[in-house]
Amino acid sequence: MFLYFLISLAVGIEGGYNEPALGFKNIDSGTTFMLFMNRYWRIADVTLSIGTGFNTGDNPSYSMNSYGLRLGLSKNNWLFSPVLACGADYLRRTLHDAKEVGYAFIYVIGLNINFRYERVRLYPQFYYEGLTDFKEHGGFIGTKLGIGYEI
Amino acid sequence: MEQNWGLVMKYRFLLVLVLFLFCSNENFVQRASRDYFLFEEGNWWRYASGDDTMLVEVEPADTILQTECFPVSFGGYTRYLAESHTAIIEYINVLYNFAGDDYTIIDDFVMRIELPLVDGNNWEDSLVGSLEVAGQLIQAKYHVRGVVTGFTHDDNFDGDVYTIELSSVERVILLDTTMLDSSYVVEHYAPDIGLVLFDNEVGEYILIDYEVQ
Repeated sequence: MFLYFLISLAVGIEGGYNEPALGFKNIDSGTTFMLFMNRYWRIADVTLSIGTGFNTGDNPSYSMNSYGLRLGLSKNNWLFSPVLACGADYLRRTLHDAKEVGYAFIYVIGLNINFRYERVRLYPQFYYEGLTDFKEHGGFIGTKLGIGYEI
Repeated sequence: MEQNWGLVMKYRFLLVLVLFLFCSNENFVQRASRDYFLFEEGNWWRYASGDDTMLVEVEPADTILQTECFPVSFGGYTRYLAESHTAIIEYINVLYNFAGDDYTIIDDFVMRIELPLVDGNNWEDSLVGSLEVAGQLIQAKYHVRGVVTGFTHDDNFDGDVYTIELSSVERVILLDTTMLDSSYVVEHYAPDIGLVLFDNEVGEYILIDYEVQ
């Protein structure tokens, strides 16, 4: 059973660049890196991913880091695939030696352009990633390049 | 097999739900994304301290030393403030009066509050200047020190309110004398409102009314 589960999985990595689109006026830009595994389930590919992000501030001494977990849906067999994901991030922002930590609920809306070669899937992704603490919304627009391998 | 996969999915959704609930007590995004300083022409705040009231009003923008700044009237006393990506800066003009004439010893901007606001951050900045007046060297030093001492959630302002302690010292040094002027103020800033309370040598002023764009 575990073997079946394993061989029906795809694993991969994503990396990209983003900029604030809503709120976060003290942030300049950021980079993200994610590891994921996905599996086709009923009607869509379900993706579980973990990742980290690093955002630099307009103040060179300011930065914001994130560490998160996402659960997403996509259609990896389509050339143009919508992407929906949600999850949670542990966030840390620092200015010199001062820091604040917190959590945020994350939601992602995006588009994958899937290119396939045998078991390998290469895709650029364009996305909006929203963060909320249920009082305020902020968000980033960004692009990622991902590569997945079907085990 | 499908049943096992469904079970796995159920636990994943439960995990997300738990994280969702966990996040609901946090205001991190609010603190990181909202504006605590609203220097826009026409914005005003009214404060009360006992029977005394004070109106703080942002006047039309002005340019000093090639820097666009906003004259902010604190009950008639005008301070020139500007916001950059890294700080709230204030125009400092230290004068020395000799024989009825004012001589400018310091004419520059100092970092009043470093941005963005982060709990525990502290900063300092200083200005120095000197001028020879009637054969006597006059020196002046202006030093400001600030620290974000914390934040607390305040339902009245629908957000986390930061507390900042600011102290400044102005020294004018003559050959045989030093003139000293120091100040200490504790300021509280709320998101999308601005200064909601300040406590200085005169007293504690609490926001009673405001209008911001």
